[in-house]
Amino acid sequence: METANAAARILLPLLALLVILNIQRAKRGRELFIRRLPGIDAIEEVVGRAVELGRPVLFSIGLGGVDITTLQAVSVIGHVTQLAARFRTRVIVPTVSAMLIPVIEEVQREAHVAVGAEEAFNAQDIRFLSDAQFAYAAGVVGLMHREQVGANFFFGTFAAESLVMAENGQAVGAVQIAATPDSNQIPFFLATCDYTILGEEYYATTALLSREPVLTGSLVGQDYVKLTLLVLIVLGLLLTLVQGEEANLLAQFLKPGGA
Amino acid sequence: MGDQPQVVTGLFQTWFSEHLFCPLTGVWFWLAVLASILAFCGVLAVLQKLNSAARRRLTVVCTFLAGLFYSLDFFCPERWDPVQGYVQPLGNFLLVLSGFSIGLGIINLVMVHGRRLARGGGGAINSVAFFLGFLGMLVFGLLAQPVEDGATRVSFATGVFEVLFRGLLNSLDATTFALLGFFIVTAAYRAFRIRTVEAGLMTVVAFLVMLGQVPAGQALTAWIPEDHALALLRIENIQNWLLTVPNTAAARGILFGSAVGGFALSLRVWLSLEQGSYFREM
Repeated sequence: METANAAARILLPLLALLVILNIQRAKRGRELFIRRLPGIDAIEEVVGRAVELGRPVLFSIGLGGVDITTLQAVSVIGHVTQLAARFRTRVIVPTVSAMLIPVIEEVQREAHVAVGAEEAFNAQDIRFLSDAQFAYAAGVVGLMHREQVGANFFFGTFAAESLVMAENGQAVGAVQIAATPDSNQIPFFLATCDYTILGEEYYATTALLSREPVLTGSLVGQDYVKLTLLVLIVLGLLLTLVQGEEANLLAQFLKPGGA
Repeated sequence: MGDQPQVVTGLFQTWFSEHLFCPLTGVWFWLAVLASILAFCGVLAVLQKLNSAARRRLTVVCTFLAGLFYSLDFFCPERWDPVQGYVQPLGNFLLVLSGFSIGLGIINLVMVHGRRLARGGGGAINSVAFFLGFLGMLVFGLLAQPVEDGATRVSFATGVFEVLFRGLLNSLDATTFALLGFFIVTAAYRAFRIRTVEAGLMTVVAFLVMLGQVPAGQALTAWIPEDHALALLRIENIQNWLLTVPNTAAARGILFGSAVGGFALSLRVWLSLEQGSYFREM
């Protein structure tokens, strides 16, 4: 594994501290402003439409395994399931990672319990399809057509299969929300989905849905982290202009392996 | 060979390798296997006995320790890294664990399709196809032998496996991938319908980039000499500028935000600050 250089040893704990401090501020009851995002506001509306049509919701978490991007998607499954379970609407979650089945099962069961709909929980709505990219895509497309889904959520890590799934979602007339931090798939989702949540908005989803102090505080903390990094970028630019790239102390400090 | 990097042993690693993780043979090997199975059953029994609050507390502790392990490995300089020697064994353990998880997937598939088959009805034929495919691939995959280069005769099982794997699975995989070509056309048609100012702008930019990629498009501005001051207006230069300046800047901006978002989320997960999203808080 790669080892941190001096810059990472100093900066990463400092940036982590910024996030934790803002979480503490929010926990103490400090009102922190976060702007609303149309894609996230639409989640309730999209689930509502599936409920009106009497069709199930499909939630694809893409090709990710047990990683941070997929964990964020799993936490959104909890929110979507709560919304749908109130009206006894199914949320089908196809997955490529068998390891995630118990995690998603637990999240969905908790979501059903939270809204008093334990009897509506069906463990078989969490389906392992395949760990191969296009076999998974074909399986998801098959589910969309057989179940005639009313809404599609694509949250997580996607590759070329994103377009195959989203275009078929359009074909069955489902309302679609896509969210991914990967910039390569954003154009495909923009062209095929009704709402697209991109980049860092992806990681803000749970904060905006729940408005929990820990999450809103963390989101504001992220802004301070970005501000710090922006200051470093501008400083680095000015130093490069004045001192040149070789003599620039900041560039030397931040250089990989510069420890 | 003399310049090989020095391998740092982890904390108590020597003791572990001498007393616990040493190769065993004969009766001792089978006794160790039995002891491992008993230990596994014991841990499972204890976990079952724990109430959900205790189980969640255990999850929090395990998550923190796992995060701490990799943080120590990343932040500590190599010569003082107390866990470096354990990174490889832990990686192997995780690999074995993820291998076992395929069993979960098979159980899930068998339950979903078994129930549908028992219920009958319209979708049952798909479940029959699943069981035939699953059992066929399993049986012939286990019986098949590796095919050597230039071999003219193979066993029946190997032949069937080759047909199922290369002839069917790989071809279907490639077919699904090829469908992308058609889907790109339909998606582009929908995206390029000019309904808003942004859609109009995107259509113009996409048109310029496409023109810049093909010789016919490049021919339109080929009359401007390459060394002329107006060479910037040559279609391939406009296309190049669009791709390398605004497009790259936007992509890097998105990447920057994603990295910071991922960093904050990792921190929340490590310190179990976001447990409310996965299960009710303790």
